[in-house]
Amino acid sequence: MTWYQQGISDEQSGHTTDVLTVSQVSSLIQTLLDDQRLLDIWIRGEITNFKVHGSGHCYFSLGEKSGNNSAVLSCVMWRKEALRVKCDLHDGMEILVFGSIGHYAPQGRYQLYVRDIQPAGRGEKHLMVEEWKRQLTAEGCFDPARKRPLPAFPAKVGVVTSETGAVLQDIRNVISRRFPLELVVSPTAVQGEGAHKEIALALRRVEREVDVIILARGGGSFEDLFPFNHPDVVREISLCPVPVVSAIGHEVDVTLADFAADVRAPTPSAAAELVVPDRVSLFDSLAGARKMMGSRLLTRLERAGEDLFSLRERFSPRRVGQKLTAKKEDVSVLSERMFRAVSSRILLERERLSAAVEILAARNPAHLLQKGYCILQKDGRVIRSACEIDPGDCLTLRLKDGRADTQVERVYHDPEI
Amino acid sequence: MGGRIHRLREYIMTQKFEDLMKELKEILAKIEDNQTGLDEAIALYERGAVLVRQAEEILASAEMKITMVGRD
Repeated sequence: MTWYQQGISDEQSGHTTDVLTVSQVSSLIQTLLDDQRLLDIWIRGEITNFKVHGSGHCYFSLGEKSGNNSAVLSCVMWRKEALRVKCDLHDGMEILVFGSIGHYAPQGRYQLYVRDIQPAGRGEKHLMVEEWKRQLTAEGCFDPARKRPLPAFPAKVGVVTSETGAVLQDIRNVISRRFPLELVVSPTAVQGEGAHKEIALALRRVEREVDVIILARGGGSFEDLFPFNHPDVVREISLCPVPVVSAIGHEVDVTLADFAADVRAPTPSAAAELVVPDRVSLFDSLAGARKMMGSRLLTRLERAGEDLFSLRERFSPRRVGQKLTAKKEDVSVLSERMFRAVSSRILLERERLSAAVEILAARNPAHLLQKGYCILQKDGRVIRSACEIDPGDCLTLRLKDGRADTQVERVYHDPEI
Repeated sequence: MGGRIHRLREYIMTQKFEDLMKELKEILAKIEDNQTGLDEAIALYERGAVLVRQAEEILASAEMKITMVGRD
C-alpha cells in the first residue's frame, strides 16, 4: 500500500461511499437530462460551425451573444430530419430549432437533437400558429361537431376573396356553368399586414346575406397565407351563421381557417363545385323522376287492367251460358235417371201383376167346376155347411157349363163330420 | 322592393326547389305502393308531373347575378 493510497483511505475512513464507474455517472446525467423542460423545446440562436457529414447528418452549434455573456449549444440533426428542412442553412443564420436535449455518452457531452428548423422570422410565425392552434382548439373553433352540412340548393353564395385575380374568376366560371345564381362578392385583401382584419370584416359583411360562403385565396408562400391563420379570421369562421367552404392556397397548404371551415376544398373551383348543384344533372334527375313516375303508374294501371279482365271474365255471357249448359246437363242427367228408375219400376210391377193374375187364375173356381165339382149357392151366397140349409130352401147349383135351381127336401146332418 | 324580389327568389330556390324534390320522392314511393288506390295514384302522377314542370322551370330560370358588398 503506497502513501497516497494510505492518505485517501485515511480521509475516507468512517465513510462507506462507493466508487462509481464512468458509465454509472453518465447514465445518471442521462436521467437528469430527462427533464420536461429540456424535451420538445424551441430554441432561438445563430448557426456556427455548420457541417454536413458524408452520411447526411448535420452538425452545428447554436450560439447566442448578448453583451459579455455568450453561450453555445451543440446540435445534431439526423439525415431524415435534415432532408425536410426547406431553407438553406449556413453560419450566421438566425434560426429557431425544435428538439430535445440528450447526453452523448461516448464523448461525454450533452447536445440538442434537432427535429425541425425554421428561419427566425418564419419560425416565429410557425410558433405563433402553433400557439393560436392550441388556443383556438381550446375555444372549440375546430370542433368537428360544429361542422354543418352545406345547403343542397343555395339561393345566394357569398365569396370572400380578392376582387382582382383568377380566384374570383374561377369561382364565377364554375358557378355560371353548373348552376347560375346570385354571387355576393365581399372583397378583401388576402395577404399582407392587417389582411386578417379585412378578411374577418369581409366575412361579417356578407354572412347575413347568403346561404353559404366560399373563403378563397390562390396559392402563395407560408407568409402570404399567414393572415388565414389569424384568430380573428378563425373565430369569425367558427361564429359564421352559415356554412363556410375554405379554399386557401394549394392543397398542401393548410391554414387554421381551413380547420375551422365547415368544408375544406382543395381549390377555389372545387369549392364552387361543392357549393352549387349541377343543373344538368338536376335536369336529368327530374327527367328520371318523371319517367319513373310514369312507368310506375303504368305498372299500376296494367295490374289494375289485369284485375278488371279477370273480374269481367267471371261475369261474361259466355261464362253464364256455360253455367246454364252445365245446369241443363244436370237436369237431363237427372230426368234420365228418373225415367230409368220409373220404367224399371213399371216393369217390376207388371211382373208382379202377372204373377198375381196367375195365382188368381189358379184359384178360379171355374177350374174346380171343370174338374166336376159344383158350387151350391143360396140367395147368391156359397153354402159351405149343411147347417146353412133348411128343407124347402131354394138353392142354385153351379156347374161347369150351367146352373140348376133345386129345392131341398130333407137335410141330413152327418155328425161324424 | 328589390329586397322583396330577393326574398322571393330565395324562397323559390331554397324552399321551393328542395320541397319540390322532397314531394316528388314521396309521390314516387306512394305510386309504387299498392296500398295507394288507383285513383289516388293517377292523381299523384298528375301532381308529380306539375311538380317536375315547376322544378324544371325554376332550374331553367336560374340566372347569374353578381353583386358586390362594398367595403365601407
